[in-house]
Amino acid sequence: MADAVHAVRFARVSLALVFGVACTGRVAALSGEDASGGTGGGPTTGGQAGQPSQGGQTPSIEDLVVMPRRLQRIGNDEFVWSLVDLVNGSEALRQSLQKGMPLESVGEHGFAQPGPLGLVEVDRLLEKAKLAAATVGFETRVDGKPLIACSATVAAGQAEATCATATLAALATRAYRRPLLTDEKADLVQVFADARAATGSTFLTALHTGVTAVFTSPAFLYHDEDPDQRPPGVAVVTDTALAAKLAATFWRSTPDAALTALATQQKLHNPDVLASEVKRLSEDPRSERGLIAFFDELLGTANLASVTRTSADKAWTAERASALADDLAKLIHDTLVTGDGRLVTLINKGLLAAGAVMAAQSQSNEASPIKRGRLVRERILCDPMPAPPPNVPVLPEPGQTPVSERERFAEHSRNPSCNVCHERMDPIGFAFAGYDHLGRAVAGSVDTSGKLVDVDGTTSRFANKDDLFAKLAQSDQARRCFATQWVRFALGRQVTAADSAGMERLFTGFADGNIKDLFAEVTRSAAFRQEKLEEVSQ
Amino acid sequence: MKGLDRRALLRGLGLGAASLPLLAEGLARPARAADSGFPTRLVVVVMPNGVRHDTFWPRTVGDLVIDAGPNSSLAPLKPFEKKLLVVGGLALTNMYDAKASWAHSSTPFVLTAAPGAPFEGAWDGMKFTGGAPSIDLHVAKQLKAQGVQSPVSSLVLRTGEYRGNDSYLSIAGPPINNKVNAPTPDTDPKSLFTRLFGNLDLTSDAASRGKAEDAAVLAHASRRLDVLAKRVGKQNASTVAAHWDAVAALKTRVMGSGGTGCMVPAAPSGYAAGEVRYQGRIARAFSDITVAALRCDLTRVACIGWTGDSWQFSFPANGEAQVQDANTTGPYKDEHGIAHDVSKGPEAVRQKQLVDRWFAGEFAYLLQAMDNVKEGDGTMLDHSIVVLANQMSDGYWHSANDIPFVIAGGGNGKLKPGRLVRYVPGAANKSYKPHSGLLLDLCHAMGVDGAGLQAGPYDGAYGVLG
Repeated sequence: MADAVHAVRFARVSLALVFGVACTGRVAALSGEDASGGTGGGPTTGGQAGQPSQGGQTPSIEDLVVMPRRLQRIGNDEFVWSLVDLVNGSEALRQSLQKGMPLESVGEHGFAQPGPLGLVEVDRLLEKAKLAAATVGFETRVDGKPLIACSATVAAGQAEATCATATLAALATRAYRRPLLTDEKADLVQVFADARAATGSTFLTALHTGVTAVFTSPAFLYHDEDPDQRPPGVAVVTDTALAAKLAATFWRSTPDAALTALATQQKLHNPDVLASEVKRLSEDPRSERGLIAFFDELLGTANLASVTRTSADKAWTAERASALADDLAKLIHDTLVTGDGRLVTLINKGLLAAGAVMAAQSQSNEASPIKRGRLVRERILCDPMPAPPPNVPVLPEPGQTPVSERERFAEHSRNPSCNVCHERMDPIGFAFAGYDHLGRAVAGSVDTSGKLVDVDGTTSRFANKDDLFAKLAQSDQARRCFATQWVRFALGRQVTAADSAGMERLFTGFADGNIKDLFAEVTRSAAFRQEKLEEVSQ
Repeated sequence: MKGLDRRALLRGLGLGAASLPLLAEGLARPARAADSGFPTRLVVVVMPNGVRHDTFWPRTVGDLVIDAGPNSSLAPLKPFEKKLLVVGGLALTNMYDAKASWAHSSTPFVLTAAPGAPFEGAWDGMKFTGGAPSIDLHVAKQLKAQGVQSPVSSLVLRTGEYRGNDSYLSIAGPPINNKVNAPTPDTDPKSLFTRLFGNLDLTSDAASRGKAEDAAVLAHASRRLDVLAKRVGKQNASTVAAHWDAVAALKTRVMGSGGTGCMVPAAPSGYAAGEVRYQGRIARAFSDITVAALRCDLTRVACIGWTGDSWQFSFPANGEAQVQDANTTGPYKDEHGIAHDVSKGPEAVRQKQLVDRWFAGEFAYLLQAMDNVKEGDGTMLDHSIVVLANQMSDGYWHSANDIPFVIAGGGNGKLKPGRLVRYVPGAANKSYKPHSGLLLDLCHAMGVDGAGLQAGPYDGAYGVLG
């Protein structure tokens, strides 16, 4: 009986997730295949509107849809981390590179999506490339080996051209994430030679120009690891391209020597080898980069340093923003890199109440139960909320009238046009009333009780934030949502109804909430390892 | 002049580390791809107290021919004849409609195209101020909306004293709570210079961006994109093409302007901070700083008001007016008084013409400074729109009919200079045309929407620029 009840309820949840439940309470069929309304909302579940998957067969993970190959630019953090790794740069270099990177837009899948490169972006990337190139010296060592293929003494002699050729070829091979094409090598050598011929140049200054050319080459800036023409049709990506995808997903960087070696040996598609490499990558400290990128974008904490607060808030400083980001990173690291890797642990440890999240999900002058509730609603439960209607009533200023925070925000619940959405957000947001807009714990006793309206409309009350976390940690909806969000992030695209069978398989495998296993499953998917090749038309 | 790159600039703007990311974003500039690869800039200069009409206007409409003789007020602009569009016959209709009969109160209407709006603090019969944003602030706002994130959205500069309230040129919008809604202008070039260029560490940065090296790197990127384009086919053609265009435009900028083209001007000197006595020196410093700021792409919009009433001129035997400075000797006459005194005989009339001529010369200095900046196949002036307006038509009558407008530059191809256009009231329409249509034209030439600029009953765009 309990199973039957669960099945009925699960079907209702699936229905809501597939079609999206608008705040009006109506089940709104969306026009496209996607279930989310296009803003990183609801996850897709099995089949059509709650129908079981095909004929009771166990669907294969390979059912995640294979997409056509498109020229994809590397993102900001991949650009920065790659440069840092390629020149074995310092933390100071990373910070310098990070500052002022071009803005990235958010794709329909709810995560950053690098757009076309325009003048602004090219200008900025050139500046960053020069900055990284200028750090290259004879003392620079990468993986224990000198980056420059000769000593300063040799470079001063006739052999410098040979040295520059070897240096640039090795660097470009790593930067381009694939073997160099013949003309690419010759082109880089020519850049060096021209720079070296200029008055006042030195071996190093000319080499820096060549290195800058590597870092601004489209072969570095785009994922173009398979330059050979292949017949149209669905095909597995080359081992070289797979290595690049793995490094980009987990490390936001270029493959290391071990990954490159496996790709060269064409072993990466072997399931055991792939699983082993995913384990290695996800347990390497560099995996924190991919994880932080994911959680920052998921929770809206990516640009904490640029969050504005009123000038009266002297406590809000760049140092505080940085410290909050570090705290969040540590929580993620301790749980997912060195810990048990489980979603329930992550939630129970207070991911959603981390200071960085609390500060990011606030107004400039006060905490916002609406923003915090909306975050949980949309990003943790994948239940998209529509934009506010016009003529939103103005809430009383904080402290203006002697009413509690709940009373101030109660206006939303009294107003019928607001209520249908806000009753799904605000009561969740009240769980975080113990944190102010700077992410600090509020002194004294605070009422953090509220209620959680499920996507199927059922309501459960929670006594405090920990109670909410416990409910979320056990929530099937939250677990499915998390898996969906990771798939979106890892594939860089929206999840559609066509992915349903594959997603169901993922959900099943993720029943225990082991995030590390989820990572491995996604990398095994057809969508990750295959691509649809099209006839190249000129 | 010192060269610098953008990193130096960031520091030079004097903001702390916390502000750096934001400001770095602000340096996101270039152009919504004018063909030249250089952005279109707008500089508006407003001179005071009208002109002497008989010596100001060129004789024939059509192709512009400026008299270079001693009786021509525009003679200093003769070298720019082919880069000028002179427009006459326009009135500050919005000022008249605000029942401000005296052009004492015309200043807020010169750069605004909408009817006036009432405000508190009326002076000399004035009850209204600008009812919508002025052209400079409107364009700056629209550029920002287009994604141009300049570190300084616009420069609002003013020589000499200003009274506030009714004497604002740059208007942010209708009054708020009956108070004028306008930014306080910069009046001190020294503080402006420090704000824009101060505290620079050029020792490493100046060398860090070599023109030839940048060009070589960009050329390499272009070659590789050519190869890539052939391989990836139509499916990705737009991505590669956009990248290629951006590389080409950046290369044009780098090669055309000497590295980044960003140069720090000499620091203003020769007067005490806040001192307005040497107003000519201050005007000159503002021109230098404006050109440098445009060159460094710190902003794309500037408004320079020469409208303070503290101008002092002497008239030495060489036949030209001389503005008061540390090395000049009097006796001096104040420019406001000169404008009033044209009824007092030939010498007073002559002096007014010489003062007009002096302002034309100062405008020529600004144009020359912009024309000296090579940008690709043209100059900064070719890629800019520079307007010289006047707060009134003539100083004696305080009329706001037939306001003289001198528009310089090429506007990245949007302007057709070398012409004189004069709208003359005729039998059918005895009124002068509202100047609002010209402001709308300027808006369009800058590539921005005019909605919100011309919120009123006046004519639409005239299309007089192109």
